[in-house]
Amino acid sequence: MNVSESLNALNWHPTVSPIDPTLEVPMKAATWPRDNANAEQLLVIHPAARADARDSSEVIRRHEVCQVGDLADFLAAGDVVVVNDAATVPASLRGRLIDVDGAPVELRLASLLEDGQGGGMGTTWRAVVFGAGDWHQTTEDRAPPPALAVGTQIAFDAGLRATVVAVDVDHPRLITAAFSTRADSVARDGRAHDVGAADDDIDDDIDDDIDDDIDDVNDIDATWQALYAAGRPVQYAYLKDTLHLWDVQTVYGGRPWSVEMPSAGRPLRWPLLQALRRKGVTVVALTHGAGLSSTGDAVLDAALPLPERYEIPTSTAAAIAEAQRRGGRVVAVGTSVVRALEGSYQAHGEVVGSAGITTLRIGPGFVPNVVDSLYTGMHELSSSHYQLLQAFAPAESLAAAYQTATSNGFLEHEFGDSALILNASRWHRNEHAQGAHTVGAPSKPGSVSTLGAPTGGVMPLVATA
Amino acid sequence: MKDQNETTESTESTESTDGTQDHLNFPRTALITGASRGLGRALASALAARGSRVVLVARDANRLATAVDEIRRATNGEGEVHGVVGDVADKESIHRIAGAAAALVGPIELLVNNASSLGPVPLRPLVDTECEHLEEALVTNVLGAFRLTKVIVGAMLLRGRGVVLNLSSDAAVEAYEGWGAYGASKAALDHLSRIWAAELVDSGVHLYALDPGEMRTDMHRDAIPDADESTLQDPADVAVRFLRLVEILAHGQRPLETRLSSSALAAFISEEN
Repeated sequence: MNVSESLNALNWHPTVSPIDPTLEVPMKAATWPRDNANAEQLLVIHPAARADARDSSEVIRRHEVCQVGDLADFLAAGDVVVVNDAATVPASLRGRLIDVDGAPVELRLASLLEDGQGGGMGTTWRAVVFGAGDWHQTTEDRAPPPALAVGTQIAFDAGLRATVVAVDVDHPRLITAAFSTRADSVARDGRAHDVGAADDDIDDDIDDDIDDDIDDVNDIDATWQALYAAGRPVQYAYLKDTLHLWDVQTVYGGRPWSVEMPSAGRPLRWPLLQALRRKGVTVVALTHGAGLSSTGDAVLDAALPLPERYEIPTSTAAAIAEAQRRGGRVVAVGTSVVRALEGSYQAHGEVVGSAGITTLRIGPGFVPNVVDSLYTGMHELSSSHYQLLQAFAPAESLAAAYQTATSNGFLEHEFGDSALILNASRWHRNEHAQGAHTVGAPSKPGSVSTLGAPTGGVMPLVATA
Repeated sequence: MKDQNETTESTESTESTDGTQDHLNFPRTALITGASRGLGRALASALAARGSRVVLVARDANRLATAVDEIRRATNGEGEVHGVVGDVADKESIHRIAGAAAALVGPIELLVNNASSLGPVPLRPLVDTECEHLEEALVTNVLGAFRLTKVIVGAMLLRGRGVVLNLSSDAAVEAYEGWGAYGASKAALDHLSRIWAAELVDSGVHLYALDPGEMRTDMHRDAIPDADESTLQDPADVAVRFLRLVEILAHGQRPLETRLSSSALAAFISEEN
């Protein structure tokens, strides 16, 4: 008796039919960090449960409500959990255009576009421009930004300046901005971009101790400090108060690559990670610069996520290969980890220690080659996040899970509750075996570029996979 | 209660639970607070000279710029040295310091919590110590070190590698008259260090509280203005000992105790040589 015959024999039918998410009562947003991460709710989703069901009790358990602190119960020795150790940058910068009307703008950093010296980061970013206002308004309700031209300068607190070095052809609020603390010239590395004498008023903002003869390294040092002094965490209108940088870091965050918190890992505190390791689960890190989740522009929002940079340590690639060899599962914490691992796979045919920029977009029909299970936050069903989840579970199963979560008082967004989608590869295998599934994941060699590739003023936005 | 640190000695390079070789090489990156003068500056200089990428943190922007400049010149431009202005006593500055440092040199592998406050200067008995003086010493020496360690040690734990050194003092052990604010704060830091170390056991991350002994520094001059400076150590010599310990840790050897007096550190190093 094959699987479908056995299901027929059980007279089993899905208890929940596909739901139009827009008809559902929306999940409430978590409006502030909570104190006890282990007690936050966790919805464990078993996308393969339907096909694997041997008796009715298993059939019913297509998903189950638990707590974050129960995570170790669902993982086994030999599994490898991969987290994103990017720290969160204060990526919201409010300033004024340096010209006659000094119009207020907010820049939200989206992704870093250049390296600095040694192992350091540069100071040229892709950024999204907003007009007057702040996070209290939804991004859609914000005033449109003034049109920015190449060469426009923006002044921020702490002596920080940005010069617009490129404006996206299709999305005028998407710019490339070179940051500096210098008054006269902003871009470095032979791409000096002298914009002429600065406004006298602005000169007063520049720290006195920034001397004319300061060298490039000192300017990068000063620029990073000024960025941290002038910037605030990016946040959205559903939060009840202004966030501090302390509120938007994971326990293991290191390099400041992310412009929004890689929030899936936020509830994973050290004792929980230790408990996983004690159980024989390997916990390793990669770094992925998680981007913005909302731009205030519907067309640009539809293009999210923008290309994001990642770096996979050789030891992490080795741990993944080892787990796979032993039949362990690769569990990604957050969609950023999925993008990094699957992006690396598409570029190299396997996960290797590497740095790159992934333009991979993952959605329904994509069959992950590396990641088997996904630990992730609760987010609204219309987002690109939800598109990605459909590579790990059928829409029907996700909609049912979402309904359960909502009725159990789950909260959504970065301080909200979590979900764990287990054994997605078994679901894909079952679907494939039944011939009912269209195998996606076309491998485009051009979909991943190396970090060393020139970025210039041209911004390839999105290569769909 | 048994001192848990007695269980931390291990002479072999252990296989950490994340499956990677826990072979701690010499740190490639370092963050040092209180680095514009004295021991902090000597450590930064020695680390830069041996090829680590170093971030110096200090409150005084001008003095910091001078220190960065001089270390660069002393290494003939070979050493990668960065300056970050910040005060560890200010909670809001902590992520600025840690974030900017990681942006400039990559994940921090050696953190030296060297910045310290004496409390009231000149030193005075507790009965004459203002509440704010004690608070100032505690905020810089205990809270500052705690906060910076907290935001940096998580990434170290995940990667299974890293060293944190906290600056101790014999005033943390002996009840010296006039040293109330400083001594109490350093005693608190010592004990905080022991608990950190107990919690970090077998993680690949090593944390020690080191008493450097008496050195020819501005801080010593503030505390004991009439000291015979010829009897004091050169901070550069102390820096050599500290980095020797870091080297030994990189080879998998570890001292028994979390807090090492100046003589205990010297003895450990000579045993390992």
